[in-house]
Amino acid sequence: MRVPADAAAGAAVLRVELESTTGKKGVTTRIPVRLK
Amino acid sequence: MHLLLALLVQDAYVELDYAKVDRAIAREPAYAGTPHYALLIPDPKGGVRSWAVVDKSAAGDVLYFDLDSDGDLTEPGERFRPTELGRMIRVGDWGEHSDLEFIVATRGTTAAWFQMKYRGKLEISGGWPLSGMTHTKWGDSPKTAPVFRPCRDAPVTFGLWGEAELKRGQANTITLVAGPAGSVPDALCSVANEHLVPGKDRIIATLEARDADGRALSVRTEIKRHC
Repeated sequence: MRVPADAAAGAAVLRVELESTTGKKGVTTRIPVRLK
Repeated sequence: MHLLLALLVQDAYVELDYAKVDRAIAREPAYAGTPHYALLIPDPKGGVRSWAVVDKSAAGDVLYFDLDSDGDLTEPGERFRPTELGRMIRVGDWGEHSDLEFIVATRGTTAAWFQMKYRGKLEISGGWPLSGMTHTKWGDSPKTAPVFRPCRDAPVTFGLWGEAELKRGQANTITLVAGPAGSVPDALCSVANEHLVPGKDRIIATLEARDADGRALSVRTEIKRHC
């Protein structure tokens, strides 16, 4: 994942989702990250 | 027909209210050292559950595992020692599941890490953190024990394996674990990569951040490489 250079340093969130056409269910997960 | 079948299978999974999960252990052995507790519930409906307790002492690590899920950890055949090779403890078959083994940690707060073949086929391991490079902390009592759901039919959640830091202005490699959630965010299980079908079960990661002026900034990436 390329993080833009103009992003502010500090706290951010990585949101991860499953998009499935096989019937599987996913739970959107929000993972705290830090940008350096 | 296939979609209906898939829905029926998915519906078999029941989310549990972990605050109400029965944490009573009917009988425990006399531990030589400090016991560390985890509860494994592979049953989609939550009915079958087994306690795992790692007894860490100067005399060596011992695992007690409730193979028949009756809550009695004192029964013959439910006490395991590491193999001669080191930290691995092989349990083997566990009901309809197979190849259950634990890796006992030598340091840190993690007592052990486990892996198994769900119904003899799908590899599931745990526990994994929401982020970081350590494994789930086991409880110092049944009350504080993490509950793992090593189950094929659970909704897929995610954890970030690695430091939760991304570098601005450059590409970052992101490694995710995917699988059933447990009782706390840091009690994930991970299913083997073949559980998710490339191109059909797509994992989308979106970075939500701000720019220097406080404007919302979003970067969307599909995780295409499974391993």
